[in-house]
Amino acid sequence: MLFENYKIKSNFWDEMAMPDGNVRAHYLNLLNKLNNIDTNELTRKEEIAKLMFMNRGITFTVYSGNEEGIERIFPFDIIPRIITSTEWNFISKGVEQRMRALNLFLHDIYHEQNCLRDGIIPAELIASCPHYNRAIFGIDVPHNIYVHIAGIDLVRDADGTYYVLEDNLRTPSGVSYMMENRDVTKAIFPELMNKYKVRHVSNYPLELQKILVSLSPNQTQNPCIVILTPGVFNSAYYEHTFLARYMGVDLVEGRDLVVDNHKVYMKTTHGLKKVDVIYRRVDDEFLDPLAFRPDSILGVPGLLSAYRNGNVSIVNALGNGVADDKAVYAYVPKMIKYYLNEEPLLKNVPTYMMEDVEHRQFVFENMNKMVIKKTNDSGGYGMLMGTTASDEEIEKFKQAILLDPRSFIAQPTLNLSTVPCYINGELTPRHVDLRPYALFGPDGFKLIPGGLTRVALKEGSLVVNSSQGGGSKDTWIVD
Amino acid sequence: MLSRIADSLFWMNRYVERAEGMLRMLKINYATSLDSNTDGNYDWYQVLYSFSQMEEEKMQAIRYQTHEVLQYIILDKSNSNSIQSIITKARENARGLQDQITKELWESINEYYHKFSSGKIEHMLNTNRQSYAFSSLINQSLYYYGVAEVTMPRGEGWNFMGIGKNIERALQTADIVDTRFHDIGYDLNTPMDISYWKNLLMSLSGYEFYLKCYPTGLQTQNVLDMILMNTNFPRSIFYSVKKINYIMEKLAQLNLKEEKALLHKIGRLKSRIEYADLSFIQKVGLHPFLEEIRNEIYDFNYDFNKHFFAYH
Repeated sequence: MLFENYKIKSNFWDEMAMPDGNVRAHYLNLLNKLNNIDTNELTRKEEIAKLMFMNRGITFTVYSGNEEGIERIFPFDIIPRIITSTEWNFISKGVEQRMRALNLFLHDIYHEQNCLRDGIIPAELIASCPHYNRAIFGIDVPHNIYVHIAGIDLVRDADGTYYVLEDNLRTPSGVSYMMENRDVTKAIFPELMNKYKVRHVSNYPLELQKILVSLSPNQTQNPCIVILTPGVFNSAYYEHTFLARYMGVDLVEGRDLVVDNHKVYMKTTHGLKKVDVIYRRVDDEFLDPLAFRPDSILGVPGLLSAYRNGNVSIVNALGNGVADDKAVYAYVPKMIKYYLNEEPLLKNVPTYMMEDVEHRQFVFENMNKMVIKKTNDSGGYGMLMGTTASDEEIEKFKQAILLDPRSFIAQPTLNLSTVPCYINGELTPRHVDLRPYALFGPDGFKLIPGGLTRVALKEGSLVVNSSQGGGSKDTWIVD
Repeated sequence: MLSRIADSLFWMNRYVERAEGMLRMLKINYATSLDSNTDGNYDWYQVLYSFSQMEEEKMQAIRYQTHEVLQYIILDKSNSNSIQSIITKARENARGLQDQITKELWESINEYYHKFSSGKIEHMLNTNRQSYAFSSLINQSLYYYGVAEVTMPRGEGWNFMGIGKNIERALQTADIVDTRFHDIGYDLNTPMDISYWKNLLMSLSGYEFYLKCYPTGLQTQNVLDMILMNTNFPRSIFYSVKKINYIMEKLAQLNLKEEKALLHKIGRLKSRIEYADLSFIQKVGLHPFLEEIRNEIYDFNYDFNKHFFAYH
């Protein structure tokens, strides 16, 4: 009986077990299954899953010194996480509201800038944001959509409330893992999938492709769509190939493209072919050495001019970084009120601005209860977890904050919810977040019913980023 | 398709073909090395000479040491032509065009690569399961070709794969023939015993075919005829060149001057082999004849690359 030793932690929301020891209704079937299964059987399922990831090449390479890189699979926990459709519908509405507001904000900030004039957001905050892209000012994008693809990271606090932890509006990744996780789960828990009505996630590439087609500058029968990748050494390269494969489009690198007379072409065996839509997985600053970083070899010289002239559509739009800056994040609830005249459905985590003297004072007095984040880092880098940090580390961060307060924010440490995981032959709770994938096109908004659940595999750890030793699990939305 | 992709498809197949040819050759040589008449002193010099860039000194040092030779030819990462290096390169090419090949094909080449990366092959070689290591790797390449045959769409990409495979195969066969005939001074009238040719034929998977198709007697000339010109033998040089010619006709749709030139080149080579006969070959000499074939293939390969893959 695996569940007998399952100990939930007080002050944390466990998604399967209630504090009184009973199990939430939507987890019952799963639990019955697990209680009637031998641990050897589960360990074998784990092995099968590992092998599937390995053979499919869903790996990342770890380099140490001048040794050849070692390939590792992303850790995968075999127990699915289950979310009810009632909860999901609420999340979906909340994410849609956020996407609409963020899109209006991006259009505003690169055109009239009413939000600055009306004092909704301080101008100096935008002026000091390194991802505010001046080259984009005044460029009109098709249908005024900037964020076509978003990964909105959600967490649940001690009472089960969903909070938005951060918005990823540039090149969010992980969607291929969402789909591969599901594929692997089908192979190892088929009978369980039959018991639950799980909404399927496999439509994502087709939905995305529809959006890409609809954005083509010249609405021909067969617009030429490409995915632009930095190349095989990028950590998300597997995902780039995955999406190219399931959308049936070409995966290109910067060196495959050339701009001539403000139009983009790709170099084929039959000469040059015009490109209409680029889904880029390359960051802004590397996209065009003539406009941004001149030392970039990942981009295409002249790409910005083609974009400016409306000869090519780029997804996501350039300049989105200003909207997912961690200091600008604090103003998203205000944006929702200002642009939509609605109350925010999904809560923001309370955020302290380090430029504000009072805020800073308060945070410095309570460092051990805070998470300090750099405003423009992602992937779990440049973070301080106050609860576990040493005095030295805390002191270091204080100094860094005083030198450059604009680059830091602080948030109270959240009690991330836990879900059951199968670790070392036992069922044990681990902390998770949730990244659902939202698509936004001319035909409206779509949230794929599922997402990537990231797990902090270390016992007690609250950091879920894969770069910091996190894993992932399949996420079921059940009716 | 993208020139870069075409280039990678071409090389992916070239590498797999190269590995397979080498594996068959190793397997036969290894089996022979176990025969009683070698007293455990089988000479690997010829293999090292043909399939690696090893310095003369080192070859002399390990030529009789089966274990060291196999380690070097199969696993050594510092040897850029070891089977492991070749399969790694094939897989890197496949990785860079994952979306252009079927998922099954990607998985088959990835699995091939992981046979090495997981240490499985090394373990087999160190625990006296050499034959098993050869079979398991050869099966992996057969699996790769089978998956390609069954799942890959026939189109431009398929054609580049075909050219890569057949250029590699023709060159490899020419190299092997040259080496074996060099040992008998290129003399086609030497009546060599069939046991001398058995290895060569077996490493080209053609021994059974030879026994069925050729009368006993003029072994030396028959063997040459089969490996050079037999239309039905899939590893004869003529067969590969004919294939390249056929695929080239399909690729040359645009009627460009460069494409016509390529067609001429390969067509000329095809005819030269097709209408050569043994007396002609004896007149020009076997070695120069083979040299010429190889140079023509290199020449074609160079122009082909320049025309289709030049994207720099």
